[in-house]
Amino acid sequence: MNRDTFYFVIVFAFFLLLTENGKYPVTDYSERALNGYKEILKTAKETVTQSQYGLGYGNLTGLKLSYEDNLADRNALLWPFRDYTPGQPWKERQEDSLLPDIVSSKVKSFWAQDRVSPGKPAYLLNISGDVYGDFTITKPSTPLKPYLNQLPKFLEEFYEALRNQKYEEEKQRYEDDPENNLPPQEVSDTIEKVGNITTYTEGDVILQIRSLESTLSDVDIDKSELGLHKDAVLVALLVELRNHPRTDSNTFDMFAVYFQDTGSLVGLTKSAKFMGLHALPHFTQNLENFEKSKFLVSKLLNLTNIDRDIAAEDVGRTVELAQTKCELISYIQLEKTQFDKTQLSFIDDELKSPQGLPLPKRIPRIEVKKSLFYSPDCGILFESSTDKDFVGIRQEVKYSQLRKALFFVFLLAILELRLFMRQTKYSRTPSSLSNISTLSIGLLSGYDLLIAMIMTLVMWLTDLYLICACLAVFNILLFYVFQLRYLLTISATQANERGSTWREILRGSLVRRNSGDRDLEAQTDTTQAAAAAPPATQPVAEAANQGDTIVQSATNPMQYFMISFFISFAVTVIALNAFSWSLWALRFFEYFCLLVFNSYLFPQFLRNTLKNKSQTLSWEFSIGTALVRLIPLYYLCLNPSNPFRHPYDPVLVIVITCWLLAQLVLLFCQKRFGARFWVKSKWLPEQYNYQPTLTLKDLETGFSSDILANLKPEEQQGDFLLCEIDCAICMSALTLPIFVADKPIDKIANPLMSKVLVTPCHHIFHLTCLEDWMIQKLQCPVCRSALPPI
Amino acid sequence: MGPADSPYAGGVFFLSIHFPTDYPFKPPKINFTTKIYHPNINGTGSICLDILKDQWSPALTISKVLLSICSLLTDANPDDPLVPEIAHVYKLDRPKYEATAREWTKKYAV
Repeated sequence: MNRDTFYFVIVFAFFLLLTENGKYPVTDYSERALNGYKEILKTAKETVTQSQYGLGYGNLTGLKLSYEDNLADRNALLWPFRDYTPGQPWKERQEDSLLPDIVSSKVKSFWAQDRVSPGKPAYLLNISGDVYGDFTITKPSTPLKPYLNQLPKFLEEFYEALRNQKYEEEKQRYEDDPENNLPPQEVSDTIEKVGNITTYTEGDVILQIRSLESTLSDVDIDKSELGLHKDAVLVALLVELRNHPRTDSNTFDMFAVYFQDTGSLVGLTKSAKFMGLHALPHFTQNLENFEKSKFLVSKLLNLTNIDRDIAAEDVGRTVELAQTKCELISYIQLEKTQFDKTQLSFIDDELKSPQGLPLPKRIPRIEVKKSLFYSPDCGILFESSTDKDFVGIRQEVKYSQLRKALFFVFLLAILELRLFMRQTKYSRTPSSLSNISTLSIGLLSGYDLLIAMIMTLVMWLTDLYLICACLAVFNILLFYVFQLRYLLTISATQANERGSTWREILRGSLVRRNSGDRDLEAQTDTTQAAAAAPPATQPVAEAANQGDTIVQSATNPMQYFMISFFISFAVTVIALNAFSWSLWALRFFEYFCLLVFNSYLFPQFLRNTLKNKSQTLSWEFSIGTALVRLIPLYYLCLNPSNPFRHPYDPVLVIVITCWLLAQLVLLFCQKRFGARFWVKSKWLPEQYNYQPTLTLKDLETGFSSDILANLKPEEQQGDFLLCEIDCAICMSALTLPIFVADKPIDKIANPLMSKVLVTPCHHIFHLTCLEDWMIQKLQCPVCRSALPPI
Repeated sequence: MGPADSPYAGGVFFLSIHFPTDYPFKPPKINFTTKIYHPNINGTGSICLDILKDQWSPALTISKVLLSICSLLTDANPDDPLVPEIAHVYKLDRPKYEATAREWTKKYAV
């Protein structure tokens, strides 16, 4: 290896060694905390294996006080407060249990009430999916008293030490480099707890239920038997509570047990101050459920070898959770489906490993009948609203719906490609190309590029990799090969207009040289310098050659490429981030973007007016592209159960449809009433007239002396003197009538001029000769200045 | 005929001119049939000249084109060569280039 590679390897290895697992500093606090925590975990595990339903929670942190003990402000250190005997066992009442009576009575009213009999409609077996609903905060008549759970002393000291250390680090960093770092956050005594919702009473609740296999992917055991025991399943549950404008979001991570025979789910969060997972079996309301969940929880706990797997970071994390988050206990009761257990089992197998067997038309959704969330340490009770549906779909179902939707978008992209190719063919000549607005095509293509960008960034995040990748590749191809090429041909044709005012665009660029027309011989020297330059940069060479230049720097293909890439990338990143904004910001952003991207016909309308030409874009193109943009919008906004979870928004649909229709109507009016129907024509300069009536005076000013010299007066015909000159293209004679009478010239086209064209740069050609040339290039053959289209 | 102020002086060069059917709207195809040592003219005689490709104008006559070919012989364009090796020599060792050109002119064009 050479020297550079060697240096690279050294630097790389240095960085690798540096990032060695971010060890927590080993102080006596952390050693003590780690050992103490391990002890607690070991005792808790023992407690779980030996626990019995009638004997109460046992020696678990955070569960030593029952609700009555809490009301009486008893001290947790004096645990236990009562003995449980077979004659007087632990019961689900606020004397013995963590839950106040009001909560447990609510739970008893809806949870696990209805057991399924064989052959009758059953509850869903596999409930992995996302469920969406509304919640309200219930305030009982006697307010709930929050538990003041304290961390064990050594953990508290550990946490204090940790926070102080963090503060010191930040302070040091700030002092070293005040410009780039924020000042350290002051260590405050009171911390705002996540989940302690005081400012609103209603909001959205989102449940994310996942099987354990997906969450414990890095643990190396046979997971298939882990989750299921008889008919109880351990699942990972994530509860998100947020307010409707989406400015406040609280998430709670927990393990839950789902009993398939009663369709009921119970879950608890856990942290250093609340051993929710260990106590989970005691919250299952009866002995049978207790035994099943105890088996599952013990198995889960046996996965971690406490001595080996618990490290200082874990202690830090769980202590952080304890201090900054409320604990949550969730009780969720599902609705029965219309299928019985065997049918449901068949559906689950087929969804998990599809073999092409036919599934029922409507796969049952995850419907929550009622749910309740209680936070013991923050003293808040959340209940799901009964007036709104609390439903969700299975993950597999959601993915297949997404896949179908994306495939349809793919088909729309193919249609867009076809429309573009047809439009390219429709406007092949430089005349028609010069009438198309680059901004129009740019906005159209921008939409496709945006889809490509979004798909490229999103495809790494989902299981839908394949369809996203296909869509990304196809749209990138569509944009960079077809649309960009079309854009470049258009701007190459319009390159003469760069830097000129709209007056000049209409009348062609005038040659502003003092001397007469330059001879082409002299020009060949300078054109050699630009010998093999691509056509788009040709005007640059000419600009460098001509004296005063009207044409500024030309369209560089690389410029277009870079600009388009960066703009689309920026918009994509903003758009993907937008999902974390508040609801109003998100809606505003959506309206704004859609209005901008769907205004692509306005620039074309304006350009039509400028050039006084209508029907520059084919109708199939305008209507087709409008449809391609409207159809996904209709799907997202008018279908309340779309898999992308776009809210039902008919207002947006109406606004965008009217916007596009207005543009189409304007274009139609241009076709019907002429391109300039909405402005008085004398505001805009006239289109250049290629067949003006020339007088002798005209010839003396502006025309080159060659023409005057070669002029051979032939005969007089009425008011006109017919002269003969040569057409530079075909080298044959051209009859040019010159108005010699003293009368004022009327603007009516002179029939004698019908075979002659005069360019703005005062060169004269046969009509057929110049038109044949203008099909290929809008450039004067003699002096190469820009010609306005006929 | 090679221009007098170039190393091709004294040489007689033959060209083939082929006019397409849509002349003058398309440029004529001009090739050197005599071998010549020039950075913009290759072994088969193809000429790299912009007015014969995208900078063609229908007002250009054959005499003007031939004139521009003549000036190309006098002042080559090494920054956009058809034969990079010759252009290299042209840029680095001008006398050597001229000597080789003269040699080739004597060998093939007389």
